[in-house]
Amino acid sequence: MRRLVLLLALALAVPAAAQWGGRPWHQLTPEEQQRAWQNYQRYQQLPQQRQQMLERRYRQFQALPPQEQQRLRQNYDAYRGLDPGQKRQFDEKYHRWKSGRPR
Amino acid sequence: MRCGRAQKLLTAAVDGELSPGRRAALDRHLAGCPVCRAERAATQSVLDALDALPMVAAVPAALEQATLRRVRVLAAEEAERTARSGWRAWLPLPALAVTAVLVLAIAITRTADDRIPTSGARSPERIARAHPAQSHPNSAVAVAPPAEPPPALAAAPELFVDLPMLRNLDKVKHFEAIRTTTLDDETPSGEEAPSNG
Amino acid sequence: MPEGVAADPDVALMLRVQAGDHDAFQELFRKLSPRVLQYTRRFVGSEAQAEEVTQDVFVQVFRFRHRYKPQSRLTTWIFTIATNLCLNELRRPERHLRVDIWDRRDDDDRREGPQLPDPDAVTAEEGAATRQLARRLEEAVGALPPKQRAALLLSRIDGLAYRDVADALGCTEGAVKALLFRATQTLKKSLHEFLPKED
Repeated sequence: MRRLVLLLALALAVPAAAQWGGRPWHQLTPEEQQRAWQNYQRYQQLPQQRQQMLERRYRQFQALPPQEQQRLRQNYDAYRGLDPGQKRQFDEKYHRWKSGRPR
Repeated sequence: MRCGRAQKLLTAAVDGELSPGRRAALDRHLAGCPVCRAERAATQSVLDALDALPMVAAVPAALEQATLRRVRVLAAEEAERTARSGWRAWLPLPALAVTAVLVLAIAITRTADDRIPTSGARSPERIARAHPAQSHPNSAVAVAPPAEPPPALAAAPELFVDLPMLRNLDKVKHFEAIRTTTLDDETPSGEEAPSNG
Repeated sequence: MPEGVAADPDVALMLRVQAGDHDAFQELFRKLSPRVLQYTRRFVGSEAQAEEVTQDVFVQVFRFRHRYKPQSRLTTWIFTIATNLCLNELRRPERHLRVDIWDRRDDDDRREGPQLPDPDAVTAEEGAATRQLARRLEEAVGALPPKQRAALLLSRIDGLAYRDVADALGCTEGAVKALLFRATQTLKKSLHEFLPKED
Protein backbone atom coordinates (compact mmCIF):
# COMPACT_ATOMS: atom_id res chain seq x y z
CA MET A 1 0.00 0.00 0.00
CA ARG A 2 2.77 2.43 0.96
CA ARG A 3 4.57 1.64 -2.26
CA LEU A 4 1.47 2.54 -4.26
CA VAL A 5 1.10 5.78 -2.34
CA LEU A 6 4.72 6.68 -2.97
CA LEU A 7 4.37 6.07 -6.70
CA LEU A 8 1.18 8.10 -6.82
CA ALA A 9 2.83 10.94 -4.91
CA LEU A 10 5.77 10.89 -7.31
CA ALA A 11 3.45 11.22 -10.26
CA LEU A 12 1.74 14.20 -8.66
CA ALA A 13 4.74 15.93 -7.11
CA VAL A 14 6.99 16.33 -10.15
CA PRO A 15 4.56 18.32 -12.29
CA ALA A 16 3.60 20.44 -9.28
CA ALA A 17 7.21 21.28 -8.53
CA ALA A 18 7.97 22.02 -12.17
CA GLN A 19 4.94 24.31 -12.35
CA TRP A 20 6.10 26.62 -9.60
CA GLY A 21 9.78 27.02 -10.48
CA GLY A 22 12.15 28.78 -8.06
CA ARG A 23 14.68 27.17 -5.76
CA PRO A 24 13.83 23.99 -3.89
CA TRP A 25 13.55 24.02 -0.10
CA HIS A 26 17.00 22.65 0.63
CA GLN A 27 18.64 25.40 -1.42
CA LEU A 28 17.22 28.14 0.77
CA THR A 29 19.47 29.56 3.43
CA PRO A 30 18.45 28.81 7.04
CA GLU A 31 17.32 32.42 7.37
CA GLU A 32 15.15 32.08 4.27
CA GLN A 33 13.70 28.80 5.48
CA GLN A 34 12.71 30.39 8.76
CA ARG A 35 11.15 33.35 6.99
CA ALA A 36 9.31 31.07 4.58
CA TRP A 37 7.98 28.97 7.42
CA GLN A 38 6.69 31.99 9.36
CA ASN A 39 5.10 33.46 6.24
CA TYR A 40 3.56 30.10 5.39
CA GLN A 41 1.79 30.10 8.74
CA ARG A 42 0.44 33.60 8.07
CA TYR A 43 -0.59 32.52 4.57
CA GLN A 44 -2.57 29.63 6.04
CA GLN A 45 -4.78 32.12 7.84
CA LEU A 46 -5.68 34.08 4.73
CA PRO A 47 -8.94 33.62 2.83
CA GLN A 48 -8.63 31.31 -0.16
CA GLN A 49 -9.22 34.17 -2.62
CA ARG A 50 -6.30 36.07 -1.17
CA GLN A 51 -4.09 32.98 -1.24
CA GLN A 52 -4.89 32.53 -4.93
CA MET A 53 -4.12 36.18 -5.63
CA LEU A 54 -0.68 35.81 -4.00
CA GLU A 55 0.00 32.63 -5.95
CA ARG A 56 -0.91 34.46 -9.16
CA ARG A 57 1.43 37.33 -8.29
CA TYR A 58 4.20 34.85 -7.55
CA ARG A 59 3.82 33.25 -10.99
CA GLN A 60 3.99 36.70 -12.60
CA PHE A 61 7.01 37.58 -10.50
CA GLN A 62 8.82 34.38 -11.49
CA ALA A 63 8.29 35.27 -15.14
CA LEU A 64 10.15 38.58 -14.77
CA PRO A 65 13.83 38.91 -15.78
CA PRO A 66 16.24 38.33 -12.88
CA GLN A 67 17.32 41.98 -12.77
CA GLU A 68 13.72 43.13 -12.49
CA GLN A 69 13.13 40.64 -9.68
CA GLN A 70 16.20 42.04 -7.93
CA ARG A 71 15.00 45.60 -8.41
CA LEU A 72 11.64 44.80 -6.85
CA ARG A 73 13.23 43.00 -3.91
CA GLN A 74 15.46 45.98 -3.28
CA ASN A 75 12.54 48.38 -3.46
CA TYR A 76 10.80 46.21 -0.89
CA ASP A 77 13.88 46.35 1.34
CA ALA A 78 13.81 50.14 1.06
CA TYR A 79 10.11 50.15 1.92
CA ARG A 80 10.73 47.92 4.92
CA GLY A 81 13.51 50.23 6.06
CA LEU A 82 11.20 53.22 6.36
CA ASP A 83 10.43 54.27 9.92
CA PRO A 84 6.73 54.26 10.93
CA GLY A 85 6.28 57.94 10.08
CA GLN A 86 7.87 57.56 6.69
CA LYS A 87 5.87 54.43 6.00
CA ARG A 88 2.66 56.19 6.88
CA GLN A 89 3.57 59.02 4.53
CA PHE A 90 4.54 56.59 1.80
CA ASP A 91 1.24 54.75 2.14
CA GLU A 92 -0.64 58.04 1.91
CA LYS A 93 1.29 58.85 -1.24
CA TYR A 94 0.49 55.42 -2.57
CA HIS A 95 -3.22 56.00 -2.20
CA ARG A 96 -2.88 59.43 -3.76
CA TRP A 97 -0.86 58.03 -6.64
CA LYS A 98 -3.28 55.18 -7.14
CA SER A 99 -6.30 57.40 -7.29
CA GLY A 100 -4.57 59.49 -9.94
CA ARG A 101 -5.54 62.75 -8.28
CA PRO A 102 -3.56 65.76 -9.52
CA ARG A 103 -0.81 67.13 -7.27
CA MET B 1 14.47 60.14 -42.21
CA ARG B 2 13.87 63.54 -40.63
CA CYS B 3 16.43 65.42 -38.55
CA GLY B 4 14.50 65.01 -35.28
CA ARG B 5 14.42 61.23 -35.69
CA ALA B 6 18.05 61.09 -36.86
CA GLN B 7 19.34 63.05 -33.89
CA LYS B 8 17.55 60.72 -31.47
CA LEU B 9 19.59 57.85 -32.92
CA LEU B 10 22.99 59.51 -32.69
CA THR B 11 24.01 58.28 -29.23
CA ALA B 12 23.09 54.70 -30.10
CA ALA B 13 24.90 55.07 -33.43
CA VAL B 14 28.13 56.23 -31.77
CA ASP B 15 27.85 53.34 -29.28
CA GLY B 16 27.27 50.82 -32.08
CA GLU B 17 23.85 49.90 -30.78
CA LEU B 18 21.82 50.45 -33.94
CA SER B 19 20.51 47.62 -36.08
CA PRO B 20 22.14 47.45 -39.55
CA GLY B 21 18.97 48.68 -41.27
CA ARG B 22 18.56 51.66 -39.00
CA ARG B 23 22.28 52.43 -39.25
CA ALA B 24 22.08 52.48 -43.01
CA ALA B 25 19.06 54.81 -42.94
CA LEU B 26 20.85 57.17 -40.56
CA ASP B 27 24.01 57.16 -42.69
CA ARG B 28 21.94 58.09 -45.75
CA HIS B 29 20.45 61.01 -43.86
CA LEU B 30 23.82 62.18 -42.52
CA ALA B 31 25.31 62.12 -46.01
CA GLY B 32 22.95 64.91 -46.99
CA CYS B 33 22.54 66.86 -43.72
CA PRO B 34 25.40 69.03 -42.39
CA VAL B 35 23.43 70.00 -39.27
CA CYS B 36 23.00 66.37 -38.19
CA ARG B 37 26.62 65.64 -39.10
CA ALA B 38 27.67 68.41 -36.72
CA GLU B 39 25.39 66.95 -34.04
CA ARG B 40 26.92 63.54 -34.56
CA ALA B 41 30.40 64.98 -34.15
CA ALA B 42 29.33 66.74 -30.94
CA THR B 43 27.77 63.52 -29.63
CA GLN B 44 30.98 61.64 -30.44
CA SER B 45 33.04 64.28 -28.59
CA VAL B 46 30.88 64.13 -25.49
CA LEU B 47 30.94 60.33 -25.34
CA ASP B 48 34.70 60.28 -26.00
CA ALA B 49 35.20 62.75 -23.16
CA LEU B 50 33.07 60.58 -20.86
CA ASP B 51 35.01 57.47 -21.82
CA ALA B 52 38.26 59.29 -21.08
CA LEU B 53 37.22 59.88 -17.48
CA PRO B 54 38.69 57.44 -14.97
CA MET B 55 36.37 54.47 -14.54
CA VAL B 56 37.98 53.23 -11.35
CA ALA B 57 38.55 54.81 -7.97
CA ALA B 58 41.11 54.07 -5.30
CA VAL B 59 39.28 52.10 -2.61
CA PRO B 60 40.34 53.11 0.91
CA ALA B 61 41.60 50.24 3.02
CA ALA B 62 39.09 51.20 5.71
CA LEU B 63 36.22 50.63 3.28
CA GLU B 64 37.46 47.14 2.45
CA GLN B 65 37.95 46.28 6.10
CA ALA B 66 34.52 47.58 7.11
CA THR B 67 32.83 45.65 4.30
CA LEU B 68 34.59 42.38 5.03
CA ARG B 69 33.82 42.81 8.74
CA ARG B 70 30.10 43.21 8.04
CA VAL B 71 30.14 40.20 5.76
CA ARG B 72 31.94 38.10 8.36
CA VAL B 73 29.26 39.01 10.91
CA LEU B 74 26.54 38.05 8.41
CA ALA B 75 28.25 34.75 7.68
CA ALA B 76 28.61 34.00 11.39
CA GLU B 77 24.91 34.74 11.96
CA GLU B 78 23.96 32.41 9.12
CA ALA B 79 26.21 29.67 10.50
CA GLU B 80 24.67 30.06 13.95
CA ARG B 81 21.16 29.79 12.56
CA THR B 82 22.13 26.70 10.61
CA ALA B 83 23.52 25.07 13.74
CA ARG B 84 20.39 25.97 15.77
CA SER B 85 17.86 24.83 13.20
CA GLY B 86 19.57 21.49 12.75
CA TRP B 87 18.64 21.49 9.09
CA ARG B 88 21.26 19.82 6.91
CA ALA B 89 21.48 20.65 3.23
CA TRP B 90 22.63 17.16 2.42
CA LEU B 91 19.93 16.22 -0.07
CA PRO B 92 21.47 15.63 -3.47
CA LEU B 93 20.05 17.27 -6.55
CA PRO B 94 17.52 16.91 -7.96
CA ALA B 95 15.81 16.80 -4.63
CA LEU B 96 12.62 18.81 -4.91
CA ALA B 97 10.53 16.00 -6.35
CA VAL B 98 11.97 13.46 -3.93
CA THR B 99 11.33 15.78 -0.98
CA ALA B 100 7.78 16.50 -2.07
CA VAL B 101 7.21 12.79 -2.68
CA LEU B 102 8.36 11.78 0.77
CA VAL B 103 6.45 14.56 2.49
CA LEU B 104 3.27 13.86 0.59
CA ALA B 105 3.57 10.11 1.05
CA ILE B 106 4.07 10.47 4.77
CA ALA B 107 1.17 12.93 4.95
CA ILE B 108 -1.18 10.52 3.21
CA THR B 109 -0.21 7.55 5.34
CA ARG B 110 -0.36 9.33 8.70
CA THR B 111 -3.39 9.13 10.93
CA ALA B 112 -5.93 11.98 10.83
CA ASP B 113 -4.95 13.51 14.16
CA ASP B 114 -1.33 14.32 13.36
CA ARG B 115 -1.68 14.80 9.60
CA ILE B 116 0.26 17.75 8.19
CA PRO B 117 -2.32 20.47 7.44
CA THR B 118 -3.23 20.82 3.80
CA SER B 119 -3.26 24.22 2.19
CA GLY B 120 -6.49 25.99 3.09
CA ALA B 121 -6.20 25.14 6.79
CA ARG B 122 -7.03 28.19 8.83
CA SER B 123 -6.56 27.43 12.45
CA PRO B 124 -3.23 28.26 14.08
CA GLU B 125 -4.16 25.66 16.70
CA ARG B 126 -4.24 22.94 14.05
CA ILE B 127 -0.89 24.10 12.75
CA ALA B 128 0.57 24.04 16.24
CA ARG B 129 -0.76 20.51 16.88
CA ALA B 130 0.76 19.25 13.63
CA HIS B 131 4.09 20.89 14.29
CA PRO B 132 4.75 20.86 17.98
CA ALA B 133 7.57 23.16 19.04
CA GLN B 134 10.84 21.37 19.42
CA SER B 135 12.06 21.01 22.97
CA HIS B 136 14.75 23.63 23.12
CA PRO B 137 15.28 26.36 25.69
CA ASN B 138 15.80 29.00 23.05
CA SER B 139 12.42 30.47 22.17
CA ALA B 140 13.63 31.34 18.62
CA VAL B 141 13.99 27.62 17.89
CA ALA B 142 10.36 27.09 18.88
CA VAL B 143 9.38 28.74 15.58
CA ALA B 144 12.06 27.02 13.54
CA PRO B 145 10.81 25.31 10.38
CA PRO B 146 9.88 21.65 10.64
CA ALA B 147 12.34 19.05 9.38
CA GLU B 148 9.86 18.18 6.65
CA PRO B 149 8.07 21.19 5.25
CA PRO B 150 4.40 20.75 4.37
CA PRO B 151 3.71 20.02 0.67
CA ALA B 152 2.49 23.54 -0.17
CA LEU B 153 5.62 25.02 1.35
CA ALA B 154 7.94 22.47 -0.26
CA ALA B 155 6.35 23.00 -3.67
CA ALA B 156 7.00 26.74 -3.78
CA PRO B 157 9.37 27.83 -1.02
CA GLU B 158 10.26 31.14 -2.64
CA LEU B 159 6.61 32.14 -2.74
CA PHE B 160 6.73 32.17 1.04
CA VAL B 161 10.18 33.74 1.31
CA ASP B 162 8.90 36.65 -0.77
CA LEU B 163 5.34 36.67 0.54
CA PRO B 164 5.48 40.11 2.20
CA MET B 165 6.94 41.59 -0.96
CA LEU B 166 4.22 39.97 -3.06
CA ARG B 167 1.58 41.44 -0.77
CA ASN B 168 3.05 44.87 -1.49
CA LEU B 169 3.89 44.22 -5.13
CA ASP B 170 2.06 47.25 -6.46
CA LYS B 171 3.98 49.53 -4.10
CA VAL B 172 7.39 48.07 -4.91
CA LYS B 173 6.77 48.05 -8.65
CA HIS B 174 5.97 51.75 -8.66
CA PHE B 175 8.16 52.72 -5.71
CA GLU B 176 9.83 55.63 -7.46
CA ALA B 177 6.61 57.09 -8.79
CA ILE B 178 4.95 56.85 -5.40
CA ARG B 179 7.88 58.39 -3.56
CA THR B 180 7.81 61.42 -5.84
CA THR B 181 4.05 61.92 -5.49
CA THR B 182 3.34 65.12 -3.59
CA LEU B 183 0.78 65.30 -0.81
CA ASP B 184 -1.31 68.42 -0.18
CA ASP B 185 0.81 69.51 2.77
CA GLU B 186 4.08 69.02 0.94
CA THR B 187 5.94 71.42 -1.34
CA PRO B 188 6.97 69.91 -4.65
CA SER B 189 10.48 68.53 -4.42
CA GLY B 190 11.45 69.58 -7.91
CA GLU B 191 12.55 66.03 -8.67
CA GLU B 192 12.22 64.64 -12.14
CA ALA B 193 8.67 63.46 -12.88
CA PRO B 194 8.46 59.69 -12.75
CA SER B 195 9.04 58.26 -16.12
CA ASN B 196 10.20 55.05 -17.63
CA GLY B 197 12.02 57.03 -20.29
CA MET C 1 23.73 29.40 -19.89
CA PRO C 2 24.46 31.99 -22.60
CA GLU C 3 27.65 31.51 -24.53
CA GLY C 4 30.58 33.27 -22.90
CA VAL C 5 28.97 33.51 -19.47
CA ALA C 6 30.38 30.15 -18.37
CA ALA C 7 33.87 31.30 -19.33
CA ASP C 8 33.46 34.62 -17.51
CA PRO C 9 36.01 34.61 -14.65
CA ASP C 10 33.73 36.88 -12.58
CA VAL C 11 30.98 34.26 -12.78
CA ALA C 12 33.42 31.57 -11.68
CA LEU C 13 34.40 33.74 -8.74
CA MET C 14 30.76 34.29 -7.79
CA LEU C 15 30.05 30.57 -7.94
CA ARG C 16 32.87 30.07 -5.45
CA VAL C 17 31.29 32.70 -3.21
CA GLN C 18 27.97 30.85 -3.41
CA ALA C 19 29.79 27.67 -2.41
CA GLY C 20 30.97 29.36 0.80
CA ASP C 21 34.48 30.43 -0.21
CA HIS C 22 35.18 33.59 1.80
CA ASP C 23 38.52 34.22 0.09
CA ALA C 24 36.62 34.35 -3.17
CA PHE C 25 34.41 37.10 -1.77
CA GLN C 26 37.43 39.19 -0.83
CA GLU C 27 38.85 38.61 -4.29
CA LEU C 28 35.55 39.70 -5.82
CA PHE C 29 35.49 42.83 -3.69
CA ARG C 30 39.03 43.80 -4.64
CA LYS C 31 38.33 43.19 -8.29
CA LEU C 32 35.06 45.07 -8.63
CA SER C 33 34.92 47.64 -5.83
CA PRO C 34 37.09 50.24 -7.67
CA ARG C 35 34.55 50.37 -10.50
CA VAL C 36 31.57 50.28 -8.17
CA LEU C 37 32.99 53.06 -5.99
CA GLN C 38 33.66 55.29 -8.99
CA TYR C 39 30.11 54.65 -10.18
CA THR C 40 28.47 55.40 -6.83
CA ARG C 41 30.65 58.45 -6.37
CA ARG C 42 29.48 59.95 -9.66
CA PHE C 43 25.92 58.93 -8.94
CA VAL C 44 25.38 60.21 -5.41
CA GLY C 45 27.95 63.01 -5.53
CA SER C 46 29.09 62.68 -1.93
CA GLU C 47 32.34 60.91 -1.10
CA ALA C 48 31.17 59.62 2.27
CA GLN C 49 27.83 58.40 0.97
CA ALA C 50 29.44 56.79 -2.06
CA GLU C 51 31.63 54.72 0.28
CA GLU C 52 28.61 53.76 2.41
CA VAL C 53 26.61 52.76 -0.64
CA THR C 54 29.54 50.77 -2.01
CA GLN C 55 29.78 48.90 1.26
CA ASP C 56 26.02 48.23 1.14
CA VAL C 57 26.36 46.95 -2.44
CA PHE C 58 28.83 44.28 -1.48
CA VAL C 59 26.99 43.35 1.70
CA GLN C 60 23.89 42.80 -0.46
CA VAL C 61 25.96 40.84 -2.99
CA PHE C 62 26.88 38.50 -0.13
CA ARG C 63 23.43 38.44 1.48
CA PHE C 64 21.68 37.65 -1.77
CA ARG C 65 24.47 35.58 -3.28
CA HIS C 66 22.20 32.58 -3.72
CA ARG C 67 19.87 34.62 -5.91
CA TYR C 68 22.50 35.31 -8.55
CA LYS C 69 21.96 33.08 -11.54
CA PRO C 70 24.95 32.46 -13.83
CA GLN C 71 22.74 32.97 -16.90
CA SER C 72 23.32 36.72 -16.59
CA ARG C 73 26.52 38.73 -16.42
CA LEU C 74 27.80 39.32 -12.94
CA THR C 75 28.58 42.99 -13.64
CA THR C 76 24.98 43.57 -14.75
CA TRP C 77 23.72 42.03 -11.51
CA ILE C 78 26.10 43.97 -9.29
CA PHE C 79 25.49 47.28 -11.05
CA THR C 80 21.74 46.67 -10.79
CA ILE C 81 22.17 46.44 -7.03
CA ALA C 82 24.39 49.54 -7.05
CA THR C 83 21.92 51.53 -9.16
CA ASN C 84 18.98 50.70 -6.92
CA LEU C 85 20.91 51.57 -3.79
CA CYS C 86 22.06 54.85 -5.34
CA LEU C 87 18.53 55.76 -6.40
CA ASN C 88 17.25 54.93 -2.90
CA GLU C 89 20.05 56.98 -1.39
CA LEU C 90 19.10 60.02 -3.45
CA ARG C 91 15.49 59.68 -2.34
CA ARG C 92 16.15 59.50 1.40
CA PRO C 93 14.36 62.48 2.97
CA GLU C 94 17.02 63.00 5.63
CA ARG C 95 19.80 63.08 3.04
CA HIS C 96 21.86 66.20 3.36
CA LEU C 97 22.29 68.57 0.48
CA ARG C 98 24.56 67.03 -2.07
CA VAL C 99 28.14 67.76 -1.21
CA ASP C 100 29.90 68.37 -4.45
CA ILE C 101 32.91 66.10 -4.71
CA TRP C 102 34.67 68.94 -6.49
CA ASP C 103 34.24 71.36 -3.57
CA ARG C 104 37.20 69.93 -1.68
CA ARG C 105 40.46 71.73 -1.39
CA ASP C 106 43.23 70.86 -3.77
CA ASP C 107 45.55 69.92 -0.94
CA ASP C 108 43.16 67.32 0.45
CA ASP C 109 45.00 63.98 0.80
CA ARG C 110 41.99 61.87 -0.05
CA ARG C 111 41.70 62.42 -3.74
CA GLU C 112 38.60 61.45 -5.65
CA GLY C 113 40.52 58.93 -7.62
CA PRO C 114 43.30 58.73 -10.18
CA GLN C 115 43.93 62.03 -11.83
CA LEU C 116 42.74 62.25 -15.42
CA PRO C 117 45.63 60.90 -17.48
CA ASP C 118 46.80 63.38 -20.02
CA PRO C 119 49.61 61.71 -21.98
CA ASP C 120 48.97 63.85 -25.05
CA ALA C 121 49.15 67.25 -23.40
CA VAL C 122 51.89 69.29 -24.99
CA THR C 123 51.69 72.31 -22.74
CA ALA C 124 50.62 72.99 -19.19
CA GLU C 125 47.72 75.04 -20.59
CA GLU C 126 46.46 72.09 -22.62
CA GLY C 127 46.66 69.85 -19.55
CA ALA C 128 44.71 72.41 -17.57
CA ALA C 129 42.06 72.62 -20.30
CA THR C 130 41.62 68.85 -20.26
CA ARG C 131 41.22 68.85 -16.50
CA GLN C 132 38.72 71.69 -16.76
CA LEU C 133 36.69 69.71 -19.31
CA ALA C 134 36.75 66.66 -17.06
CA ARG C 135 35.58 68.70 -14.09
CA ARG C 136 32.80 70.38 -16.07
CA LEU C 137 31.75 67.01 -17.42
CA GLU C 138 31.60 65.45 -13.94
CA GLU C 139 29.52 68.39 -12.72
CA ALA C 140 27.19 68.15 -15.71
CA VAL C 141 26.70 64.41 -15.19
CA GLY C 142 26.01 65.02 -11.52
CA ALA C 143 23.31 67.53 -12.42
CA LEU C 144 21.37 65.12 -14.66
CA PRO C 145 18.09 63.69 -13.39
CA PRO C 146 18.80 60.41 -11.58
CA LYS C 147 17.52 57.99 -14.22
CA GLN C 148 19.36 59.76 -17.04
CA ARG C 149 22.50 59.80 -14.89
CA ALA C 150 22.12 56.08 -14.18
CA ALA C 151 21.62 55.23 -17.86
CA LEU C 152 24.58 57.32 -18.93
CA LEU C 153 26.98 56.00 -16.28
CA LEU C 154 25.93 52.39 -16.84
CA SER C 155 26.33 52.72 -20.61
CA ARG C 156 30.00 53.71 -20.13
CA ILE C 157 30.82 50.63 -18.09
CA ASP C 158 32.90 48.15 -20.07
CA GLY C 159 30.98 45.16 -21.19
CA LEU C 160 27.50 46.55 -20.60
CA ALA C 161 25.36 46.78 -23.71
CA TYR C 162 22.14 48.79 -23.85
CA ARG C 163 20.12 45.64 -23.13
CA ASP C 164 22.16 45.16 -19.92
CA VAL C 165 21.52 48.80 -18.99
CA ALA C 166 17.81 48.18 -19.59
CA ASP C 167 17.92 45.14 -17.33
CA ALA C 168 19.69 47.09 -14.61
CA LEU C 169 17.14 49.91 -14.78
CA GLY C 170 14.13 47.68 -15.19
CA CYS C 171 13.03 49.32 -18.43
CA THR C 172 13.10 48.66 -22.18
CA GLU C 173 16.02 49.23 -24.52
CA GLY C 174 13.97 51.91 -26.22
CA ALA C 175 13.61 53.70 -22.90
CA VAL C 176 17.38 53.51 -22.39
CA LYS C 177 17.98 55.08 -25.79
CA ALA C 178 15.55 57.88 -24.93
CA LEU C 179 17.27 58.48 -21.58
CA LEU C 180 20.69 58.56 -23.25
CA PHE C 181 19.48 60.91 -25.97
CA ARG C 182 18.19 63.38 -23.39
CA ALA C 183 21.34 63.04 -21.29
CA THR C 184 23.73 63.66 -24.18
CA GLN C 185 21.67 66.60 -25.40
CA THR C 186 22.03 68.18 -21.94
CA LEU C 187 25.76 67.45 -21.81
CA LYS C 188 26.29 68.92 -25.26
CA LYS C 189 24.71 72.17 -24.10
CA SER C 190 26.77 72.21 -20.88
CA LEU C 191 30.03 71.57 -22.72
CA HIS C 192 29.50 73.40 -26.00
CA GLU C 193 32.48 75.69 -25.46
CA PHE C 194 34.75 72.65 -25.11
CA LEU C 195 33.47 70.80 -28.15
CA PRO C 196 35.41 71.08 -31.42
CA LYS C 197 33.73 73.34 -33.93
CA GLU C 198 33.13 71.92 -37.35
CA ASP C 199 34.70 73.98 -40.14
